Amino acid sequence: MSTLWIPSASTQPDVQRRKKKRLGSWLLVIFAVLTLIVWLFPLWMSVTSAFKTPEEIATTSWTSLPTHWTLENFTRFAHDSDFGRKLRNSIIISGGACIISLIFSFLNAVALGVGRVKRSRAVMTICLIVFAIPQEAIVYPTYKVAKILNVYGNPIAVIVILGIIYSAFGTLLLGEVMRAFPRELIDAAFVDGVSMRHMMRHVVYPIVKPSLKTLGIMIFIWDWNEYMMPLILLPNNDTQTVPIAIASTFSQPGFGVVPDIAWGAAGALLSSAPTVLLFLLFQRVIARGITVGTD
Amino acid sequence: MTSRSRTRSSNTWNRYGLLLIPGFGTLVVTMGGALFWNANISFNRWAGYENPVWVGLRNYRFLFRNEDFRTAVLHAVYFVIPFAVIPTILGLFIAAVIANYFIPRFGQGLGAFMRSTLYLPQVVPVAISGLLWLAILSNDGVLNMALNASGHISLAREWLTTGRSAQVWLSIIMVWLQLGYTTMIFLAGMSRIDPRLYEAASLDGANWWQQFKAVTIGQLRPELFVVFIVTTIGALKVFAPVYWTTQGGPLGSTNVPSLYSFHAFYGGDQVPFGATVSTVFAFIVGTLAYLIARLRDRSDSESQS
Repeated sequence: MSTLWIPSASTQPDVQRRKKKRLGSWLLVIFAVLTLIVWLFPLWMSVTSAFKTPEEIATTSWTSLPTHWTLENFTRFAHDSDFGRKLRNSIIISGGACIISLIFSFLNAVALGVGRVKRSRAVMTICLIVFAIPQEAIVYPTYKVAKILNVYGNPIAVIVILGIIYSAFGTLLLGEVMRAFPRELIDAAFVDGVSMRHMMRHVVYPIVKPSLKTLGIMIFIWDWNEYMMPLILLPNNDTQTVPIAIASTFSQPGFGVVPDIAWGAAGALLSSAPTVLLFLLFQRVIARGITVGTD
Repeated sequence: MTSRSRTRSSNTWNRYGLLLIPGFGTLVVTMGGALFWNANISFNRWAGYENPVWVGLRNYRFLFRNEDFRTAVLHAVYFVIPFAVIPTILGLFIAAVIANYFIPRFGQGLGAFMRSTLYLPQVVPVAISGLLWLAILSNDGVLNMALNASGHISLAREWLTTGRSAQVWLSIIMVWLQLGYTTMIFLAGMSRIDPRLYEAASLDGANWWQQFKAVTIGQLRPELFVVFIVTTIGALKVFAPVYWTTQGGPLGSTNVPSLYSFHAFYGGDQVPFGATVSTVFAFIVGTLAYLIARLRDRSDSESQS
């Protein structure tokens, strides 16, 4: 790769050219540093504010580091927003929806990839369309059905509908993975005369376990950050998910400004922490996952 | 051998087809049913209290004559630029810079750091990052405070409460949100490119730009296609970045169709109107997705033959 930046042997060792190249490198470094600063700025701003005491917030600029680090804002915010309960809601909703998606996707993918059922292309196409459709187009009927089934306001409604929605993406991803299976492997399993259940559990599952992990983390993060279904189906703030509950703790969406800056910043950090930590822990795995379907 | 594989294939539909029932069956029933129901509502007049009255295409006629809706559609089309075009082009460039410059010089660690930094906006809940941007851009927010403190009071503006400025800042926020996704995919694609292609190009005397054009872009064509389509679909149905920042304001200058239908549903008295908007958009986006699937199927069968 480094060949790109070394002038090829045939070109004249021209001082002018080398100077130009060095200038180019510096511009690239400056460009990269500026980009990273802009990208980190909103988070940086919350870090510097969240750990300051109220006195320090009032007297120093937003972007300077605190001189006395304090966790008081976090405990105060966690108490005011009933954070523990919201965290539990989010874990249950994202976890439950994620498990439904994984089970459905796994079964679909076995049928498509291993079984090569007829019209598997049509199934994949439908999954792609479902994945692309905007949620507003199904949100009102979903709300109506939840009312009829008496689960309006119950997290189970959000769990089921999100589980179904993301099983479309899961089917696409796992389907591609299983289509790449060596044919002989599956045939061998059948020659041995094992049951389909045994084959799925002892042949297919061990092979796709890494992909299931990738998929699970991605879908969990997506479910966590989901807004439309929880907004419509969970009218009570006590059953709401972390991001939405926190956003409405601050203010109505729109031009509301948080009066207590340190408190707000602590809340922003606290509610981004779960997905950011998951991402940082599993970023290699996720990088592999989001690129599926592009090659 | 032939007979065995035939019996197997005639059995496969029955036996494996059963596996599709819980997952795919539920998906088709739920999604198909909901879409059908939604479309059905759009053919009715109904204000939430009396019985719905069938009015045929009247909501659609009304919708397409509606000035607010037409501007909302125009905004969605305009947002393709900051949500799809700029992140795709900039992401390609940044991925090339990371892969060809920073990783060879400073190692994989820095590359991973840059990649994750750019990707962070994709994992922070938009509800939260939207609030952070509000804290920066509101009238007494960080940006104006910094301008005042540094003596540039004349530069302070109502960033989000004047129409044009709100559109520009929302566009910047959209680039901020999307760039990590495009960069991540292009970086993964670049690790697949055979380094010998670059060597051959540089032996032919191609400079960096020529190599970028000929090798990088040429090899990343599948990624470019998928990324651009996925982000364009995302732009057409964009909701969260608008909802959690400007709410479509000021005075509808950043309104988008999805927000339009959301408010129609949420108010409860304009449900058929929300259903009409969302049916139109589901149709457009669904058609786009169908075309992509067809294109991919065709390229698949070409590469197999």
